[in-house]
Amino acid sequence: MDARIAKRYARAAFSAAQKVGAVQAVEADLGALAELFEHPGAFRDFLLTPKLGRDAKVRLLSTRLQGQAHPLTFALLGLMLRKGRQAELPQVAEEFRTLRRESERVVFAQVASAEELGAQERDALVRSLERRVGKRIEPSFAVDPSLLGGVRVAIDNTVFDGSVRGSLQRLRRILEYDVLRQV
Amino acid sequence: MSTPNPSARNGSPAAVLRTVVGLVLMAGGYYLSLHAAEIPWLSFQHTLEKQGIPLDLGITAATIGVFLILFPIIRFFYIAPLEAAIQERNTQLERTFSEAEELRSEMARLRSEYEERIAQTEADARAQIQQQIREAQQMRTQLMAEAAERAEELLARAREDIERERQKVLAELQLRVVDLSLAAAEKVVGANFDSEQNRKLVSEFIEKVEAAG
Repeated sequence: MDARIAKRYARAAFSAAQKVGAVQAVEADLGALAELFEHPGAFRDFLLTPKLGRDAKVRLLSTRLQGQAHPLTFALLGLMLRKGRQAELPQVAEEFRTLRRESERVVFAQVASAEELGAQERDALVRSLERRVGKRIEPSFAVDPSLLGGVRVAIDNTVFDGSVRGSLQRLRRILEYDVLRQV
Repeated sequence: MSTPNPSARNGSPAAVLRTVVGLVLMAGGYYLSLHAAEIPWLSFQHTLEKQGIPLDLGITAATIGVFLILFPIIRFFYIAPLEAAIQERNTQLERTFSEAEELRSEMARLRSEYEERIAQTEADARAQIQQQIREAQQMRTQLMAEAAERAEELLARAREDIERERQKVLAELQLRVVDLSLAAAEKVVGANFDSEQNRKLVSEFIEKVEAAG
């Protein structure tokens, strides 16, 4: 898969969505379609099967998606089908989401905690992270029992690890470094 | 070898004298032989003839005279070639002896040279053998030194390898202990970590994240 192609489609779709004020709708459509495509099933098979021609796929999509997806989403998917780029759908959706975040100066944060965080904890954590990075945070919360305790936040390439597992891993690295330094 | 010249000798005073003497003796002898009976002092020839010893001094003197006259001819045809042959033979013998002597001298010289050469060769060979022995001894000494150095080096390297391996095993053991300890710590922490402690940890994280910024 070529990331440049996905970026090109996403940029074109985002620009068009901005003009018609349908960024959120198109992003939601693309996210849902990408999730469908990423899991094995009828939708994925339909997009990838070589038994149907591209025009036939577009016609079938138009009947199925009519009224359920934004016309811009349908136009983008039809174009990708005609160009044989339907396999790039998840990357296009991700790039679209990234463009939207960049335009809104929002950063995405993946928050993992050993136990489900309460609403207050979530709000406090997001506020704290926003003050830290100086941008609005768009969080994604997940529960990861392997953390044992605490929380771990990943923003782009930066990880803030406040988990028990992270502490143990840091302790492990320190001990290993001490051992290897003696050799 | 020079051949005597009979004509030269015939022309010499001695030849003339010999010819004259020969003629006198031949003529005188012939006269004495014809008139022996008339000459008193030759009567003893008659006495000797009666005793069975015939002697005619006249014929003898005439024969001597003939011999003296014919001597140059005899000398020319017989004695001179004989002398020449003898001389030739002598010369050949002398030359042969000379050549033999030269050969002997040459052989002696060659033998001397050969003996000198053998002696020199033996001396050279001895010197070379001595040199080779010295070089072999030096090489042996050098090789033994190198071998000892190499052995020492290998020994040192082996000691280093052993020490390194020991340290490595020790480190692996310590790392294993770390793994086991942390795994045990994880289990202990996981078993004893309750929600209250988790919330406290999350709160501390929230404060630290903001404070670190």
